[in-house]
Amino acid sequence: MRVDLCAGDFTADWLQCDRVANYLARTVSSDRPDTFLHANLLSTALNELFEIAFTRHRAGGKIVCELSRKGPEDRVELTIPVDAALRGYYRKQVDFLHSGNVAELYSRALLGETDSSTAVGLLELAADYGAAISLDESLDDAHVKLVVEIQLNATSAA
Amino acid sequence: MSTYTVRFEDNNQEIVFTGVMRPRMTAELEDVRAVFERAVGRVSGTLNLNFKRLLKANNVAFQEMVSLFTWVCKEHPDLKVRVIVSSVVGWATRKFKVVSAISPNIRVEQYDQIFYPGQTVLENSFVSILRTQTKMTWRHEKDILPRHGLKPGHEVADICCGIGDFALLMQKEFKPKRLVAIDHAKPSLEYARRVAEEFGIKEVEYIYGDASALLLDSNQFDFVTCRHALQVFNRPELILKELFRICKPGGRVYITNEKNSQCLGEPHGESIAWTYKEVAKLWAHFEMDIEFGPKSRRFLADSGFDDIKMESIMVTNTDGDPKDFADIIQAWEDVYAGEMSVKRGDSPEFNARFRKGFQDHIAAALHPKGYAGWPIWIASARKPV
Repeated sequence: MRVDLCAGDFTADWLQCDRVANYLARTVSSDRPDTFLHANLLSTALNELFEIAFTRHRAGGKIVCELSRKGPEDRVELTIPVDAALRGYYRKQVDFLHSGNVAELYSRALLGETDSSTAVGLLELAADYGAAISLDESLDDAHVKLVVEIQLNATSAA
Repeated sequence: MSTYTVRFEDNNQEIVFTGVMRPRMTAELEDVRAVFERAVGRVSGTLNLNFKRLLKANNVAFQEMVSLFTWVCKEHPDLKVRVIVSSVVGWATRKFKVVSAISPNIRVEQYDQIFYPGQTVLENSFVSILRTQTKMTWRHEKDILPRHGLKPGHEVADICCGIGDFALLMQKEFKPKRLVAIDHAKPSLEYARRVAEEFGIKEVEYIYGDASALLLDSNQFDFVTCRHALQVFNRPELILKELFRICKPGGRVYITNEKNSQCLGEPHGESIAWTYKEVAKLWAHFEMDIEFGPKSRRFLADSGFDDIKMESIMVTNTDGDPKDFADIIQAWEDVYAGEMSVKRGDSPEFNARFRKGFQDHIAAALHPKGYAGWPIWIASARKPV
């Protein structure tokens, strides 16, 4: 499943993060065993990614979200228009995830003990959901792709 | 996106959060901070924070919560903070794991493990016999359901669906437009999905959920069933409130419950009667009410329903194969005498007499001239238009 969002329109309204996250989560979860629980968790994950893209993107272009699955694993690929500074920002955030114990990094971020620009949502996905997060910079100079591989496995959420 | 409500309830020292809390900036949560400040000035001992119906929250909101928790613990070290979440709302159980590390005064509780005291006793032991029970009750209920308003094409919810067999039978017999079956026991749901797959039935949606805080929208089902479940919970009125909420105005809620002390059999009637009176006491010890059946009418009326219809059936050894009836009683003995009575700390003498009543009931069921019965009360009521 893929959705192309005009960056200008998408970032005109904060509510779009919630709306698009819910729409995609409900659709993708409709044939999962625990529909509501899976949708609730996936919406949480997608919303955090959209909020990051909403806050940090280059004017113009498209934000593209692609969802695929392999067995119990969901794969989210979020392509974000960037300039050189933003590319550096995303690179720094993904590097930060691998700079120590991710649960501790998340706790520190929640307590305000890290750089205020820290993408707390990425830390949460890595710490609470065990997501594998990487940055694909191979597209072109104007885009980066955040790749999140996550097993929501609704039946073990509790 | 923030369509949440937050309110402080004095009577149980609780701040209750509901809805969706996804603000862009923490400044949008000034009302939350205000409620916290008001609450800590009014509580002593423990401040309860109820998140079980906050369906979604982002990290902006969560950071503000963490900041508020930290503030409470620092400014009011004498105060304990109890964070209440539900396993059904997936994000919360994961996110709140970290907050107990902020202070030893913060405790995170998954409330639905507390709310269903009987579930752990029953869910692991009963799966094998529930199918036989449903097979025997269905002989009666397939004729009874239309009298209580179930029609083909209805939108139906089966709350506390257990192993899902009743939902499957409704699907086959009544062809509802939509059938959602919800239970809080994951092993039962896995079993239900497996059986549905084996039978090639894809129309039933089996969902993990909490009957006392359903994530379903209000006013959407024509017919809501909840069978043999109110008797298992120590606060049935909370579930009835949810059944009422999800039912369409003019739709009906259908409940079945037992009064086990009225189980009967001959020969050995006295021994059988004694044991089932003790079953009722045993259930009460575990905060469950196996005597709920005849109370259905009152509970439905108190929950706001009208047009209450009520009847009772007697499932007996003459309904089909008597061996099925005997199998059910044997399963009851295994759980009630073999597990619950032992857990209560009953003496071996009591346990032996307790078991004898079940064995006499089985003997009555299998005796060529015997009779054994298990009464069930069926009630339905309309949600006023």
